[in-house]
Amino acid sequence: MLGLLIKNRLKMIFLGFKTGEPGKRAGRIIGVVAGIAVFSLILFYSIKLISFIYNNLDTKLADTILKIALDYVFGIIFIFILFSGIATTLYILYMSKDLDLLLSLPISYRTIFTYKYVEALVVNSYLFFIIFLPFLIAYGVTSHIPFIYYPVMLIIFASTVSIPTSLGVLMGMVAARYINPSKAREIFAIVGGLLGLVIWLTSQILPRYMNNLVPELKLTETANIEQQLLAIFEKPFLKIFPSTWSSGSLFYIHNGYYDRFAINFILITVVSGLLMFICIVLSQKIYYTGWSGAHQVSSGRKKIKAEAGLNEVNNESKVSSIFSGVNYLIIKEFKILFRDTRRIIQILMPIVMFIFIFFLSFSTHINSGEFNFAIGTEKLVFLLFPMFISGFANINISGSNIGGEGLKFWILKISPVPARIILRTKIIFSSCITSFIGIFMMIGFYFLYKPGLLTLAAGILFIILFSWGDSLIVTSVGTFFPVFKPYHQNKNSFSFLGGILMMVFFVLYVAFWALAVVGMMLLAGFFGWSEFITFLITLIAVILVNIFLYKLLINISSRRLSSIEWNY
Amino acid sequence: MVYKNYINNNSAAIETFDLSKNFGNIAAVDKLNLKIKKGEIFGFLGPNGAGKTTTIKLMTGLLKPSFGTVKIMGIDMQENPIEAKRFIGLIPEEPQVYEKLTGYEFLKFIGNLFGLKKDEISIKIKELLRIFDLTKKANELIQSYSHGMKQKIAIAGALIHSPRILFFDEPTVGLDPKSARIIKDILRMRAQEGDCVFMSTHILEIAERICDRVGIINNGSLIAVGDMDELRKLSMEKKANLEDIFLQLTGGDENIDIIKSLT
Repeated sequence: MLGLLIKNRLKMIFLGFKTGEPGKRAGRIIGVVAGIAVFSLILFYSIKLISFIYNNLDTKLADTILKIALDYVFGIIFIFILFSGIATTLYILYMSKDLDLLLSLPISYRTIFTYKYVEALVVNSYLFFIIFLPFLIAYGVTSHIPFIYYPVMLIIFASTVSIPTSLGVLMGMVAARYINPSKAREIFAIVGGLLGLVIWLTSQILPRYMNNLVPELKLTETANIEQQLLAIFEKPFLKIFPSTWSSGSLFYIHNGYYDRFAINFILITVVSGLLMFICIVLSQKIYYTGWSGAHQVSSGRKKIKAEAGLNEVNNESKVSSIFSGVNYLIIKEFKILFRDTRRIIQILMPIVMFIFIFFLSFSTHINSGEFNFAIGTEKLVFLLFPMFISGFANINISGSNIGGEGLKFWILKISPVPARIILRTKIIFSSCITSFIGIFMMIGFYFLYKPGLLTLAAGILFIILFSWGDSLIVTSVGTFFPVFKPYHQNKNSFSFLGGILMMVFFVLYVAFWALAVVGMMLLAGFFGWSEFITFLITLIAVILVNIFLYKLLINISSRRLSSIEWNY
Repeated sequence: MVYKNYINNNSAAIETFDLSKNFGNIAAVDKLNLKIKKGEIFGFLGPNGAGKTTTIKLMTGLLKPSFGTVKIMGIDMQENPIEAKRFIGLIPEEPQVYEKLTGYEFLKFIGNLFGLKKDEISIKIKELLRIFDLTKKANELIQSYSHGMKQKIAIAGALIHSPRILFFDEPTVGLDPKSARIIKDILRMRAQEGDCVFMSTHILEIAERICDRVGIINNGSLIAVGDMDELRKLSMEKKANLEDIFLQLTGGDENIDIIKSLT
């Protein structure tokens, strides 16, 4: 029966390519082609890179580098799913639209929940499958190792994904037991946040403890390259996750240490299998007995305090609008965002993750001189890192500007508000949010590096300009690839191809800024400009580029927005 | 207001010329020619999948015609969508509204979208909330509303700017009898004031009782249009009710044998 359900799901996916509107079909096909292209590119360059490492470096050093890379690959998969997968998994298990139908059929609860669990695994991991699996394949291909490596690799990959997925489900179910079902959606998101905090605190405490246990990893003045690499990149915090068993398994099978491989492999598969079993058994029992209120979330009720409402009828503010013609759209956006705790946490999670990785991996080495840029490294980090973080958060915020309207988009579509104004409003809204994130980060970095008040002021101005340009770019891409009716309630509101393009354009835009900032600093050094003149020239350059982008993209995307057809 | 310049006083409220919409090889709406007068309640009937909702979406600008045009108060929906949309209000079959806004905030937002003045919005909201018995729920998030209440808030949203043309897609689905009655009264009142109502419905009794004219669509083509007398003439049965005419024209009679064999 499980096979039948999976077969039916696959059939639905394939039918999506064969039937439906030509535009959507083309989008899906392009998405798959783009996915294959990305997979192939990563595979190609991974083979080149790993071959280069093995051919040009000492074998021991090469092994060290690749072991570190494997630790990071599996560590990132684990952390990311743990941070972001709880809500996704719970939606698939308890709130997906087909669940009522499935539960009414003569199929056992265990089969249904196993099927849903498999679905959650796929949804949680398909992106990592495209990004990281080529690297793992390349790791095997370059060494011409036995074929057994590849099925083992797939088992390890699936096990690594399933552990955080299971942990997420278990924690979410417990949370749903003790909270009001109407607030479960928000609470699930908060649980994710708290989990991140616990991991962060653990990672702050454990490295110190482990460094004492492993004194040979400490950096000495005469350290060789291998020791330096280990000191910088081999973070003990990665050892606290089961992902270390995954990287260990692959590394040891690759290098022929079969006894060590066996231990790691057994650990990762047994823990993963056990958690999966517990998860499936508990989720069906909990649903059946009603112990968890998770499945009631969709019918939940929520009241808010009467801060607006009818009293406003008599006390209507007469304040004139700041952004004539768009203020009500912005107010609506803010109200909806700040009342959706789940969305806020979704935005904050990647930020917390990046800060977490930054502080554990690089922060302590910036001052110690491992990175020697032509300009002040601290100033560069101070200016560019907040931009990177706010830009990354922006993919979620601006990317969902249009698709995020979901099935309510008809309201805007039928209104006599021009597409240009709708877009402008959405861009102002997302720029405000991402500017706030960037400025907040920058102030934090200010206390860390103390680059001076003038640099802070310049940085804040840069962040605002960057957020504006980045919101504009990502909103435009989101307008071309919106998903108004995702299969799962919390799935992205832009297509897979749209997501890839957003990432590409985001990286290009960050690169442009990095070039602008670094380039201007280099030019300043060459021509002997003062910092103020350098700042002014950079400012004018980026303003001009942003204005050009605005004129270009707002025209193209407002045409696209007007032409979107609403057939839901 | 600016849009007054566009109004052609002699024009029909809604006019379609060879309006067509294809999805791939399937013609969802095929060369639809309709003229609906101001002050008229027009019922649009048809079996499931006949093209009723697609027609409403074409008329309201949610879909682009594959061929043909739609004119709203004489304004071409394709050429001047913003101006045409000022005259219309839509109540879709499924009340998809912003669930993270309160009922009050939602109505205020819609009022602002249609460019109403603040005082006007406040008065309208108060009135609509009272009519639909939502005053006590005005400060609660829409996500806490029942299906019927969501439908009522969507209807209130469509009425807030007093549109000259109201499009209803299955107006009484999910409503309690009292609210359904209110809707019918509102439709009549609007028509008396010279506004036009275009509604699709499966409930033939409602259509027969309150519509001035009825159009029947099947497989994307308009197969009949007129008032009850004209439709009776078409069906050649003098005492036929709308249900008889509808089944005769759409081939529903043929299903009786199948139903008998099943029972």
